[in-house]
Amino acid sequence: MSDVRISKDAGSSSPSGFFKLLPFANALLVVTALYSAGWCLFSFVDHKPQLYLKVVPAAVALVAVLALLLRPAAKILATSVFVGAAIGIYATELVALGLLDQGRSAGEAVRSAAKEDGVPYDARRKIEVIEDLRRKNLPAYPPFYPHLTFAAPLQIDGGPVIPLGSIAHVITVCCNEGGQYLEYTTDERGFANPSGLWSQAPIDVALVGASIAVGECVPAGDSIAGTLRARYPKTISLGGGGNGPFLELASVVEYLPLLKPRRVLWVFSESHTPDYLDRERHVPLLERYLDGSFSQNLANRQESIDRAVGAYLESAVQLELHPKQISLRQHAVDWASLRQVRTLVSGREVRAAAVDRARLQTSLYEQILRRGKQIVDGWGGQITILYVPDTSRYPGAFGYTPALRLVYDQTRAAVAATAAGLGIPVIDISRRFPDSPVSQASQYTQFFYNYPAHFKPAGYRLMDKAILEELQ
Amino acid sequence: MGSTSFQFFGFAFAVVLVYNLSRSVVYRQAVLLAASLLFLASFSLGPKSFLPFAAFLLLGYLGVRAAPSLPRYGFPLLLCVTVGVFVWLKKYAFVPGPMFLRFSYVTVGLSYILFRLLHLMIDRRSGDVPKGVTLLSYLTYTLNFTTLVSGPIQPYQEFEKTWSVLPENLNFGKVALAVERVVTGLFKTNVLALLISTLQSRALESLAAPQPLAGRAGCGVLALASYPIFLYCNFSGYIDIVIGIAQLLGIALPENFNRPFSSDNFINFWSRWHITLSNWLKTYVYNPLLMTLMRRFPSPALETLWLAVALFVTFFLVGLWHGQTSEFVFFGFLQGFGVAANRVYQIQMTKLLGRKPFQALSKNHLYVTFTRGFTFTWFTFTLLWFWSNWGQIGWIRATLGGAEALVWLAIFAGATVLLEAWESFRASALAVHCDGAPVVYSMYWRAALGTALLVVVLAVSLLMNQSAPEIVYKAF
Repeated sequence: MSDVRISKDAGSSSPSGFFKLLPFANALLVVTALYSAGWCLFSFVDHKPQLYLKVVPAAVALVAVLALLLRPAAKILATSVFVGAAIGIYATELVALGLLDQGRSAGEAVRSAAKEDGVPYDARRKIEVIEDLRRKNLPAYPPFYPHLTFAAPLQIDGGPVIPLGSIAHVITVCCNEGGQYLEYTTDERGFANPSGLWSQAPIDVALVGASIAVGECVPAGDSIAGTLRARYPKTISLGGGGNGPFLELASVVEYLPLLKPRRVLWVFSESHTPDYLDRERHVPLLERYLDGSFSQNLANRQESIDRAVGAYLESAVQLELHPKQISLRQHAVDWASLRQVRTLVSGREVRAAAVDRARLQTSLYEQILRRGKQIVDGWGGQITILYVPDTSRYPGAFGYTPALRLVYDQTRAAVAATAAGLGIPVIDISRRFPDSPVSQASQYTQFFYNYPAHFKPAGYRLMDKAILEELQ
Repeated sequence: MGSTSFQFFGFAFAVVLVYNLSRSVVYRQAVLLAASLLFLASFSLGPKSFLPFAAFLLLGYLGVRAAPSLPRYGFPLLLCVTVGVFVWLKKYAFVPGPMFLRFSYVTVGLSYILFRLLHLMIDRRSGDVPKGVTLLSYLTYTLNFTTLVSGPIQPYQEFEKTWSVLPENLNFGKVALAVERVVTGLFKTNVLALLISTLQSRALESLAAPQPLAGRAGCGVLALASYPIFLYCNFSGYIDIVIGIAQLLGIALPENFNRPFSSDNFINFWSRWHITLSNWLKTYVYNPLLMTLMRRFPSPALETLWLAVALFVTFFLVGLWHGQTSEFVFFGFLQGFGVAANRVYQIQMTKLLGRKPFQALSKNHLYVTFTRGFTFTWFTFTLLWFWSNWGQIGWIRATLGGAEALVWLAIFAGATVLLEAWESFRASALAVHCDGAPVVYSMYWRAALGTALLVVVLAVSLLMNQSAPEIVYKAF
């Protein structure tokens, strides 16, 4: 850089060799102005919600038009900046290809956490674990997430069905957040329980909820159901990853009358439940669960469910084992259409919208709870809400922002008020974790991971202790 | 506050604004000192944590004041005490543990402050710094926030020039040049260094997986040869940033790098890599040592030996300065050996071929191409003891097994070809002229390039949420 200098044309208006570029500069500025204006117009016509999709192209178009009015040297300079910006955006696409590997980054984070916690790290991918188990002639599958079938419900006995459980009596390879995979064998109806509980009605405790109710991703002994079974052997979990209040209500409607649990622990995850509820309220089949007479009759269709879910999961396994090769042409199209950059921008939008997604639609939630209570009251059972906090509520813990904290506090208050109105007790786990200034954030490392994940075993144990105290 | 963080740029931007409000020298010195103290405070571990740092600064100031009038044997004692206190505060491994202070304290930039103190003491005594050093000048010089963390090591005389002429106001051209420099630095530290360190860690991971000889060799080449380029981007990027910021304050910091991988021998390399450290050692270690040896043992037959010894000691110290572990001692040995052997080779070749033929050979394009590749390979080899430890080196060697020789051969061949290709490309780019100057120096080209780099830097930092690797030299 020592020989850096600006050539004599800088700031000068005298004719320069670079002025030969003027026609090109004019053309480029006109094209930029027209393209940006068109983009801006499209954003308005298409009712794009993002303000920047209208403001940024409008500003670029305006700058391009103004640049056309400048004297030659300044006009070429402005064009250089536009060209540089375009090159920069396409270079970003290349950098993103070289730098970003979400799966790898997540794996590295888990490896590092496992090392810190003294847990051996299983570096295999989920599909490799499944393959290894299948080589031993064991029936192994990935977990079944009901919400992934919303767009195209499975066809069972000639009609669309949203199953809640997976295939019965198979090994489910679930997730690895702390170094080791959570693997479990499904029960008679495809849930994460020991076999035999379904014939023991009335049972002690039933858990409904999302992944926390499954025990993702801690050893079975540390999960809520696993711990409760030491005191209440007839404890069953109907949890499913990604379940929101409608799917949870579906679990209550479809399965709990068979089990007649004395206590129903209904998990409310403060970060996910509001978001999942928003996703589920647009699914007509689930909305019908608010109707007193609706059921998919899932409890009596397990064999059909096994076939349909089995075929669905097998196709996912095969796709993972034999991924479609992306052609060179597709790579070129992806690069030209700035696929990585667009994904990054939309990812940022998703993060920015986290606060909105965390807002609970209280009245809908209340309707669901009311319907669930009506059913459980039918055999004299009692619902208790298990309010599970998100790590991002605590200053200094992963994902914390003051805005999210504010929304979570509002959500907690809304859940408490809704539950009180229906006479449902709440076990509030959010008050069990230390809530300290950011300077003491290091204490959270024993409970939470420093990446998107569920609780560590110590976090689950703290939650289990609170539940046992409240149930007694 | 990391020098590549947005916090730092916000801070620097605020300092530049306040600093340029007035052209008064006292005002600017006061602003610079206040900013430097604020910057230092960002490393705080509590008020007590600054006490050893402050005591070291005070010792240095008293030493600088006393240096001209100390008796003959008092001055070496002052230097020894200063170095001794530094070694004690930096907790060098050979100092008995019970002697260390038992609380956490700030040592940021202490190594660079030591260089400045020794330089000030020696030059005050020799008269090269003729004027008395005021406390304000002393503190702004030693604590200057643009150079505190990792240099460059600026001579006091050059720093003082900032205040000796009437400061000029910033104009568009100056700001554009400074911003261009900062953006270039950010691109190196936040994008290139990040990409290369990612590449290296993936190569090391792949090396751990079982694979055929060719695969191991490929991973080995990437893992080993990427580090010098990473270190260059990391350190020279940081230097670009601080030089750019200093330009906005009207302070002309010295260059620390000058295309080091274009060097065609190891002596030349060290005159282009960490230049201010090399110059400091040349002035305060190499020259005095060589003169002492030649005076004590004056014999033409021993001249080559004394040259080699002085070079070896000087560059051995370079290695030792980086750290106190046996790895750094060996790293220093390899630097000293490389430079000394290079000098002996030059002398012997001159004797063998004659001065002019050897000069002609040294300029031969093919010869330069190969020696350039060899210089890079040797530096890559020595850096093994810089970024890893004996255990890791053992693991790498065992993993490479039969591929080890192939790896070094491939690094040499690759470096030779790629560096030559780069030099040719650079020459071709500079040959394209418009209005009597290379196009790449034109404001149009630079505006396009600067904008492109800025877009990538912002995307990597803000969209991808990727943090730049720590500045390696911050640790020294």
